[in-house]
Amino acid sequence: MKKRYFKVLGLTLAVLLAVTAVLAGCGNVDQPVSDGGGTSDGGDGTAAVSSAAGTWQWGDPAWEAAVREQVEGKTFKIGFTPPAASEFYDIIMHGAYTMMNELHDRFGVNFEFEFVAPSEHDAVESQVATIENWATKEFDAVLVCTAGDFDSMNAVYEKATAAGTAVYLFNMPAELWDTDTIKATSVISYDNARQSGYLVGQYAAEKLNGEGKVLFISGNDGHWTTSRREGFMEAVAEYPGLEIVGEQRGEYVRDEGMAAAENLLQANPDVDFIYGENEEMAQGAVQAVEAMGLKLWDGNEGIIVVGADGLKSGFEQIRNGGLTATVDVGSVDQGREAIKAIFMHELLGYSIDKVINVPTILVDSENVAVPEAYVDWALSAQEAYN
Amino acid sequence: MKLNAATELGTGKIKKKIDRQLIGLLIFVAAMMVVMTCLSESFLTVSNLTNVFRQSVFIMLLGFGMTFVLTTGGIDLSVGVMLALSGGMTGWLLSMNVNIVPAIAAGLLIGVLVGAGNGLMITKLHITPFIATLATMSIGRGVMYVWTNSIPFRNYMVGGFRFIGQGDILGLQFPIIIAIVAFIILQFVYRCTPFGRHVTAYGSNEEAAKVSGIHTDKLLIKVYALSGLMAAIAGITLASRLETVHPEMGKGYELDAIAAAIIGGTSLSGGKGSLVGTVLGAFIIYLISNALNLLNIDPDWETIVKGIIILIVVGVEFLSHRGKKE
Repeated sequence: MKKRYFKVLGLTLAVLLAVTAVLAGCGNVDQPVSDGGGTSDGGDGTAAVSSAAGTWQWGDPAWEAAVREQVEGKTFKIGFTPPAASEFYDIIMHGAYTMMNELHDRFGVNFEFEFVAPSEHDAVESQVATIENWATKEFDAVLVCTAGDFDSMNAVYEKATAAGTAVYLFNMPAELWDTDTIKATSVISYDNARQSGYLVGQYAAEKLNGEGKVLFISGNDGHWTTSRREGFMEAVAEYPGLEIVGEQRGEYVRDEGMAAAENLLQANPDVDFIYGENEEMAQGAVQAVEAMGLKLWDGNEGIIVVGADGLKSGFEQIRNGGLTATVDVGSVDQGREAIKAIFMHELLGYSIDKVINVPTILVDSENVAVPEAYVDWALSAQEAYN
Repeated sequence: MKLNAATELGTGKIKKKIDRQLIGLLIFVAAMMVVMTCLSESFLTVSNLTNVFRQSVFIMLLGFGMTFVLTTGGIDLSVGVMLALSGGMTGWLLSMNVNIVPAIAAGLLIGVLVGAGNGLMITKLHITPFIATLATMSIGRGVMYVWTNSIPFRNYMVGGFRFIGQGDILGLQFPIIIAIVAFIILQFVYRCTPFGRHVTAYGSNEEAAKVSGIHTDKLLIKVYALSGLMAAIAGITLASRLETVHPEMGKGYELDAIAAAIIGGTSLSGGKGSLVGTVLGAFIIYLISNALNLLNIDPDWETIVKGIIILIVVGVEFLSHRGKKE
């Protein structure tokens, strides 16, 4: 029922988007929105953005035609396996939809896209089985994000690649590994230390003028936690006035994050800053602060709570004054860039870098509109790529 | 063996044994309080202890239902899932602007129905409780993923609903009041009604219970439905407290609920149980976490220490019991 409701909503938005796209010359970013659809703007001045062909991003009609000739009518099979089904990975997947839709519209290439998530976050074996199945079924490429051990997963990637299925990783902390040892074709991600944890540490220093007591609620032990903590600690270490007075595990879920925050706040009711390593835990911390009758940050004073992910619920919390800030780790772009990388490398033969990091942004009430609109746009995308 | 021996000694002896276990638990809690008070000044405060109590309410409610189930010699692995389904139903209906009363009623109904379904599978299809509830757990979790599309239900908070998980009466948080009321009613049911006595009788000796004219099928269905109802109450309260229903809500709670009941002296082999013990058991589980958090012990060590302390609590009771007999 819920699903249907979303579908109706999504469809409405998609129709609206399509109408807007047609009116605006097929959604070309370079061209201002106008009812004239290109003709009234004077077509000759903007030859590169010939709207009739439906330009999206690259924009040169000759190149477009050449590409179309090479890929039109081809069908490309892609498997997508995140470590768990969740709102976060849903956004990444929708980001992937937007790029597949775009490539399909522009160049006539078709995609088959399959999604499999293990039922448990740490069920790495089932992910390995999924990848092996896809390789057997002759998928062209698989997108993988896993909690599995680096070395053992590398062996799986090597085998799949040898069988003709290219492996691309997403949302994986490539900064922890020696680039040459990665057996996947490319890692489309962000730097968990520099582009997430470090930003939060910087934000703490900035808001607290370099002085204050900090609580840290971490996720399950694993590569993401390791890297984010490293970045956060590095930033905090630059300010001797910032003191981490407590650290506990919240297992990436709200109730555990809330309990951890409540217990830590009992011992340290005078903290200034709480870093929850993902938004679920951070929102649990927000509720813990409220439940204990302590004051949340209002712009001048109170306890600052910062998370990381960039989910719809997180943006709403920021607007409502619960969560102070979060790091949007570029989930939409991870999906889009992954598909684009696959397209450029596998279908057109361009070389790509081993590690492609997408932009991330620290989001608070002042700039929440931009990342929120981007996520909304991606989530409204329907699958229309074959 | 000891447990079986104890169950055959008659109610008087059983009561004594449970009491001794309770005294053991109380001594443990007292000892922990003394040690912790010396180590951390924030431990022995009203706000901290109510905080621990409030955290333990959800496991406690599940533990109450579990105590009945374990007393019959069964087990219910689906409580975490029933909690999620009920909380999800209420949250989902509220997000569709359904009035709060039918929304909560529907949540409670889901719990009772799924619980009764467990009972039916066990009695009519003769599936062992472990397998039947394991299947329910797996199906229910899958339903949560499909139903939510892996995106948590949220934006369902209305004023009245907020009160259930976050309100307070005379400074006492409402979830705590729910737990206290549930405890009083269930303690009465367990000790003073034919239903409660039948549950114990069935767990002690299934054949004897059947021969003495107890409708065992009906009894079991009621017991599992009760477990579902308790899970539903916990789920709806948790949905109000967390303001969101995650498809994985309540994952792993079943093991904590079983642990709470067993620490409290309820027997896995049936025939004996204690709701007072379950209260203490749930409280101790969260007290340990709280104490370790207050001392800021490395989270990696926390799980180890927790496991060891549970072993000590249960082990010491068993050893002291044996010591007395010999």
